[in-house]
Amino acid sequence: MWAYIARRAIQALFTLLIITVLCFILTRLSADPLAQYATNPNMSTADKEALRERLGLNQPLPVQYFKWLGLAIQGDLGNSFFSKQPVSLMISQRLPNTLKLMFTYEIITILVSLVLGIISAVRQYSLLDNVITTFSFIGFSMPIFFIALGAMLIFAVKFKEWGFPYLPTGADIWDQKDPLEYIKHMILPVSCLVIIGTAGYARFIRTSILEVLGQDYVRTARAKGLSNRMVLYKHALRNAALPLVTIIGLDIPGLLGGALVTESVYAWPGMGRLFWEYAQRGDFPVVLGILLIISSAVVIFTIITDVVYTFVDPRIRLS
Amino acid sequence: MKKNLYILLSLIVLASMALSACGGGVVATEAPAGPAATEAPVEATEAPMAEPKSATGAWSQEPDNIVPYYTQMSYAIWIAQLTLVGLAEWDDQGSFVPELAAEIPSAANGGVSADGLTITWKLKEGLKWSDGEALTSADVKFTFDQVMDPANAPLSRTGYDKIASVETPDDLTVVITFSELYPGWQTLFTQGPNNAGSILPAHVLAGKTALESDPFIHQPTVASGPFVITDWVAGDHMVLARNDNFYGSRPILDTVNIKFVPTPETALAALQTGDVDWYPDFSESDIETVNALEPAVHLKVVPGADFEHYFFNLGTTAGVDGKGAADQDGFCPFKDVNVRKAITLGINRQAFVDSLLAGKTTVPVSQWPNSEWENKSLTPATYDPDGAAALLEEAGYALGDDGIRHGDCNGEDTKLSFTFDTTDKQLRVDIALAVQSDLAKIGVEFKPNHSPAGTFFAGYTDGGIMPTGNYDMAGYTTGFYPDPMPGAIDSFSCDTVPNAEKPAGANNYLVCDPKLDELMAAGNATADPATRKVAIDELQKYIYDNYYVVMMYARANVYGYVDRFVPGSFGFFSNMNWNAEVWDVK
Amino acid sequence: MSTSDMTILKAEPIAPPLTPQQLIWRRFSKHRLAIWGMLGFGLLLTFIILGSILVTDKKANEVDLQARLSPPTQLHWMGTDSTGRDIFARMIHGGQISLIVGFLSVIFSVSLGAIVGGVAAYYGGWVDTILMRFTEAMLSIPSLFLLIVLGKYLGRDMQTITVFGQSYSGSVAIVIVVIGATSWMYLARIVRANVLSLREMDYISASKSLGATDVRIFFRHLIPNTMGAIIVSSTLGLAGAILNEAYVSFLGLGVQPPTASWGNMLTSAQSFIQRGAWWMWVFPSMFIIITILCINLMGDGLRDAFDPRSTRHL
Repeated sequence: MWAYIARRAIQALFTLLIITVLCFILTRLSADPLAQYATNPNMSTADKEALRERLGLNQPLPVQYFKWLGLAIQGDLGNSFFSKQPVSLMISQRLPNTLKLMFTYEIITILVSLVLGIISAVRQYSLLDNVITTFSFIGFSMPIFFIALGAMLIFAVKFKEWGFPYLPTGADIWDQKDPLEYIKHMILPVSCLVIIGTAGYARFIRTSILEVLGQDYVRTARAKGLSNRMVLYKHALRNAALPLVTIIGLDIPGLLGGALVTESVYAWPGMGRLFWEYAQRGDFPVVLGILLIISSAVVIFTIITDVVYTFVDPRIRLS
Repeated sequence: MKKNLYILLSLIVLASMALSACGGGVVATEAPAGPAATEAPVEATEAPMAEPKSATGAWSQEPDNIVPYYTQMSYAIWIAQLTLVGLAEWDDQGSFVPELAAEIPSAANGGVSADGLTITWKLKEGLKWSDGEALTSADVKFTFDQVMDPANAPLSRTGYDKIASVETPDDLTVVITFSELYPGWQTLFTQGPNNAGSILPAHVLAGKTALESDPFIHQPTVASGPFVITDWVAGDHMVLARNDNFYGSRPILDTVNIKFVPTPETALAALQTGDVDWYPDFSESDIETVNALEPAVHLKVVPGADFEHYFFNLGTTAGVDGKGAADQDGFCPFKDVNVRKAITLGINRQAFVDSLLAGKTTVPVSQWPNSEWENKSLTPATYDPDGAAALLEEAGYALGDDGIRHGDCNGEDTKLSFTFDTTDKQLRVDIALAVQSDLAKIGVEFKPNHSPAGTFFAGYTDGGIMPTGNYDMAGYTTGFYPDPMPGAIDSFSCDTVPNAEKPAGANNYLVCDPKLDELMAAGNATADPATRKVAIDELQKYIYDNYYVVMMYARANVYGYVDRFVPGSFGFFSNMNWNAEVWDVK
Repeated sequence: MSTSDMTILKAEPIAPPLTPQQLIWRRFSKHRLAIWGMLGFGLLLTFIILGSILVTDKKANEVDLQARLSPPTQLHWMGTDSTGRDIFARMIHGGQISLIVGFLSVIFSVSLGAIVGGVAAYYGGWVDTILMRFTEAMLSIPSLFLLIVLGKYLGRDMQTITVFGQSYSGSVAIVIVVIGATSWMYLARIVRANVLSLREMDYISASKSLGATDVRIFFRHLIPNTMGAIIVSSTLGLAGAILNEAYVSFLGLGVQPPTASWGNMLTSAQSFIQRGAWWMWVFPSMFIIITILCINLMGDGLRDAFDPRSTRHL
């Protein structure tokens, strides 16, 4: 197994290299760093030419790329074009907030979907199943900006108006070191994300469990006298874990990128906002730094997921 | 097997915990205790105060850094208005008033020399920085030195590069000598919403190089404005405290918080719950929404000096007299002034001002709306679809079967069907639709195309739509103030048409008209406002008569603030931050 | 003996065995929610198709500033939007676009995902390596950039596409391609995981030793046995594509105005929510929810119907 991991690690480096080239090209093509000064009367033509020169934007693209790569390999992600701060500092300031938000969301989603998925599968077609199905789909079908804004309007604005205990909008100044305040401010954003995420996971869990429950060996186990609960735990869950492991493995790297819309609506200082705000300004050191971190996470977690497969399903052999 | 699995899972869990623990919460940047120390003695002598007064504002973007020479973001300039001062500023009436200076230099008081090349500023007495150090002419000289120092990389040296020397005969006097006449001298070393020539502290920054990367631009240690930054939590908020050494009246608020809120709907909700006291970034389309929240939330609409305009691609590959050659020829029918006039007359500008902008702003007549430079003898053309249709008929464009006019242009049969490019903001989308509908009535097909701002404003080397001449009509907002000419010259002259030799040229209209250049030069030839006004009036009339641009509406600043907050006064030109020292809460 | 005795001994007519298609339909029709879903979706399709014929897309784009932001009236059944366009007409044409975007992008992404995942798992070795590394690369590239870049370079040349007499913004094609190209990775990984298990099964080695070609094994055995995951993925993917379109519209990169889509209608509605213009968001969101609900219920029914081991008794 360790030989396999070592091989994968080497492949990972090549993959990352190609990913960085692609991301570099896309980033440079998508926005011009000087676009924000286009209508600014204080920046004369001469000023803009000087700025272009200083940022190294006049050099051919491959040169710019290799310069960035040279530094990145040594661990230096460069400085933001405009704020001049080190990219790694900017990321480290916002990453913990994103991680706290997104991991809370992921854990709650997994737990809630497990419960809902199992109930749905075990009581297939019952009223409970139908209700769970319908409500989880309704939650799933609303665009995030809609749920986020709606939840804020109801639970922060209207509840306060009507005299009920209310939640903060997120636009208030609050002490991030106070755990109680932190939890209060996380409730709305995490709930919005959970409402949407649960349906997807729950459907997959339900499907996998149903497929397992239909198998012959489950019928045999039941015939042998094994209770439903034991069937569930000993067989169904174990074998239904494979798709779940897959999607969790795919989702975790995405968590690092934060949730752009949720963070914007709730004024949460996270990675999603950092990415979008600086991407629009064409500040490509920041954007490439973030993409590098996310791609590294994608590659690493794919390796982890593949290794975990062998534990979950002994029939799978890694080539 | 199972043991390996558990080990692996624990590693994963540990790794994620480590990731989330690293950094351990958001890193706050704290300033040293200087400002707080100077506050305490003042507080002790006051009568027992009620609880500290604090107000929270919401801005939609975070400044990239906060020293004006090293950033051009408006949000950074707003911070500069709160924490730094210049020699003078513009008040809510648009008058130029002294801040650090004792009075405004003029010919009468000897501050402006006879040839206009030497300006003498006299500072007030007893000026101090927030840490107690004296603020003297040495700071002004240092500010000039750091802008021009080749070891520093300010974003713009425009104007400062026309200064030959800055002398400081004594602590309170600054003598600035220009190498050539610079009518815009008032924008140097002074602060306004669009120019920040704040005076920097020599005692903190002298001797340092590469100021663009100095920690001071993110963690300023001293201030001269009404407030001092005490905390900046990246991506989240800033906290400012009163600066007791502020030269003017004692700031009333103890603390000002600025929270960064990217979504206007969130800001609106926060105003309703009182989480936030004011939000200055509403768009004109939010006017009715904010108005509906009175009396808990107050709306303030202040017409500004910026304008939204639509313009024609007037580029010619030949240029004029060897200058101003664009990469592409503009849409052929636009060469005819009557076609441009017809399009202008065919757009019902007042209708969308009344409906989409709640009637709270005006259709401007020139590039200097609401300001003292405006040519008041001109009135905006009224909507006249019949007249427009007649003009197009006369110009040779007859209605085709598909309802679109076509006619001969330069030997080719051309349909009056063209694209319009702009950004994707909702208001722009709506207005473009209204214009499309208006122009369809006179037989012109107007096809709006929206791109994100980073794409739309891309420069020549990035294949930007406007510099490469890849557009027919386009539209955006800009403004030419406080000095009326530099921006106009950069935007309209033959010398700044973007092409391979001049990729950074700002003349997006691609227009090259020698008469225009002549008039603009006249407007910049003297410092005397009266003479300038005559020349600039003529310039406005010329652009107006030639229908080079379609002036759509004067941009307004839309503020929303809660009842408990007492802002200062709002000027059309000075935004609400110019007298932050009088802000109060009920 | 009398003939009556013979009649007692006559055998009962035996019904012929059900074909697989009939079996599937039988199982499907027992799933009550799925039937509701199908009915609902049918009604929706009728509304949109009939509506497109009766209400022209010119009407959907007719600007009338005087009538802007009016609530539902006799003249405008669902009210008007911020420039006075009739929301009912826009719901019809927007529905067309949203469904087209949804279906086409899902067909694209599911086909690509199933094939990539299946082939990678079945052949293993360097095929698996290359395909999976390619999958990782696509996972790391944000779709937002692809949208911006494609929109920049293709958007201006593909201003309008005319199909069946109706003109659509070229951005529809761009959105379909980008959503399709950025959502297949999930299914690829899931199918790969399933096939990795399945390929060790006895009946696969039996098939091989009997001389079945790889293609036959692939399409006859492997894919049908991952049908459950594929169907769930497709139905979730369709919902995802419609929502994805709304999300990118929110960022200004989706279907470009003036072409309507439910997604960009919701986006324009958000600045008017707090003004009380409920009709601007209630209708698009209701329709989106109902569409996605119906599609997923049908998908549920399909999944159960295709699974021969479904525990439901017939």
